[in-house]
Amino acid sequence: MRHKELLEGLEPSDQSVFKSKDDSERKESIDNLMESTKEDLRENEIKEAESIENALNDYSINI
Amino acid sequence: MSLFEVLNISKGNYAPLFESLSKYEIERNFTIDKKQLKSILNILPTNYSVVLEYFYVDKVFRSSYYNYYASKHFDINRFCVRLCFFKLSDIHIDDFYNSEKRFMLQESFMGFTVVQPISIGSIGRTYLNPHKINLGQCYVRTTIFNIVILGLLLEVETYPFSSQNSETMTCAETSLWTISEYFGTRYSNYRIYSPSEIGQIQSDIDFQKSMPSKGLSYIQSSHILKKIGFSPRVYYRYKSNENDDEIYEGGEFKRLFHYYIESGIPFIAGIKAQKGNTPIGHAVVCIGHGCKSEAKVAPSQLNDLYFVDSSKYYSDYVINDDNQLPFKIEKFNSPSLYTNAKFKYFIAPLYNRIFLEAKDAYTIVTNILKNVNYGIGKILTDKELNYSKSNPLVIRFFLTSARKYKAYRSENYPHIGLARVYTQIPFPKFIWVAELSIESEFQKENIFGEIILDATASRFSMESAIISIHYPGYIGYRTPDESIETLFTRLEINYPGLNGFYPVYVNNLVKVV
Repeated sequence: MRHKELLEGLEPSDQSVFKSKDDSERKESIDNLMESTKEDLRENEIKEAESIENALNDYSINI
Repeated sequence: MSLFEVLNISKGNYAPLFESLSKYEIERNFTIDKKQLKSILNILPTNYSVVLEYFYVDKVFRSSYYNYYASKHFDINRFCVRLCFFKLSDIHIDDFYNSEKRFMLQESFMGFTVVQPISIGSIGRTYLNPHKINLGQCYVRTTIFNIVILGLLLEVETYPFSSQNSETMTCAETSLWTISEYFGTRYSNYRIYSPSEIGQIQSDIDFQKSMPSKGLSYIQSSHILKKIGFSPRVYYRYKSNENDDEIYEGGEFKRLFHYYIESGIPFIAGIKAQKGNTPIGHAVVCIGHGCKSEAKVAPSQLNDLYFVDSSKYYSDYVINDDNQLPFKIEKFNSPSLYTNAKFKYFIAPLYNRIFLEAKDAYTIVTNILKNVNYGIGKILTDKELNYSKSNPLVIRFFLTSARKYKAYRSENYPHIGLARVYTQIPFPKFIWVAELSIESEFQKENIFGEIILDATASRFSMESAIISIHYPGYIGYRTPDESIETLFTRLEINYPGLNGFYPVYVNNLVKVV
């Protein structure tokens, strides 16, 4: 109901480029998205550790 | 000596001003850095008036005075001279007592600079309105400061600047002070810390005596930021201090640097450089960026998606360098007067409830965009969007407050339905926004969609980070009590009324023309 009120005045069409999915298909698609993102986030974690490690070895003073 | 003096400067002739200041130099036994003062005067219009206030009690100088200078054997004066600049060249002192002229005085007020009675670092607090001085076109973060002169309350919109005095304030302390002065003035969550308070915090964490200042390492600077109420995040660029191998490859450091600038968060940036043959470190505050380049940028690829990160259109950044001038526009690849200067790190002073940092937020966005099922690839096949390798997708990424974002999108939208969604669904205090466009429209400052992430999410709970995805003709969103499945179910429905271009978000930085 809340959704309809927010989008009042917008007419849906049947031309969607996103294939309508049943609940299990949708869940699988979302799980795949989350999994691939998590792999990239793990790489970020490794890079961040390297950044912190190098930074901690830098005692240079700003003057 | 007079208490106040009004001088009318015409055609850039500063002789009357320097003549008045020379009496002050003799009386108080110090030498003004005339070169730096002249550089500041050179960015003012050629005709203006300056009001000199000879017994000015400056809060920043007094802080250093009582904490340090008062302990010296030879006398150093307590009083400063404040120079207030007005764009009109025929101001008289009695204008300040004329109610009909007060509005005119406010309108013409360009700001002020404080001359401190010390030979090194004589140019103290300097607050100049970037809209009223000679500055190239740029985008900067500012806030409103109030001052009282001759009983008249005046406002100046600016970002604080001061030169370094090398004894109580080196570049690092000056940068920390401007951050505190800016945030403490603008937001009730923070308070302003004086240089001596910053010095005391430094002293508490230092292993040796801290006065006279010997400068600060980035670790000390970050530690002080934590102590004064921020949750700083450090981005360190190089694999080692000895060479230029970068931890962040493919220009990623500059991209992250740009996101925080685009977010309107002033931050401390460390520079490595050389003075003669000696390697040195320097710290500045970055407060904005220059103009967008209109030149074509070679697109990057996300799977088969051609895109340009908006940071690639920018090469100039606005910095406050205490060895130079306020609002200095410098190249990212050469940000200082020193030889071989390069940004080495930056410390973003984040609000303590921001948990999702730029790199992780960007990773989440790019994974959504390139996703086979819910990515933007299928949308871009619409011929009306005119997407191609030579007219690629553009991603503009920034952090902003939900309040400001809702306010802006309540007026700037492709359809009122989108305005209802963005203003009615609950947002956290801060959100990451990835605005989407294609190059030809982005150059006209238009977008066709955006992805909004919750800045209170973390990389370990990334599925909870996505608040909404808006592509042309599609909107998926969710409220705090709804699942991620609900968002994607909504995204599957096409609403042709949600097509169209609308203005980019511009609330984080002010445009100076």
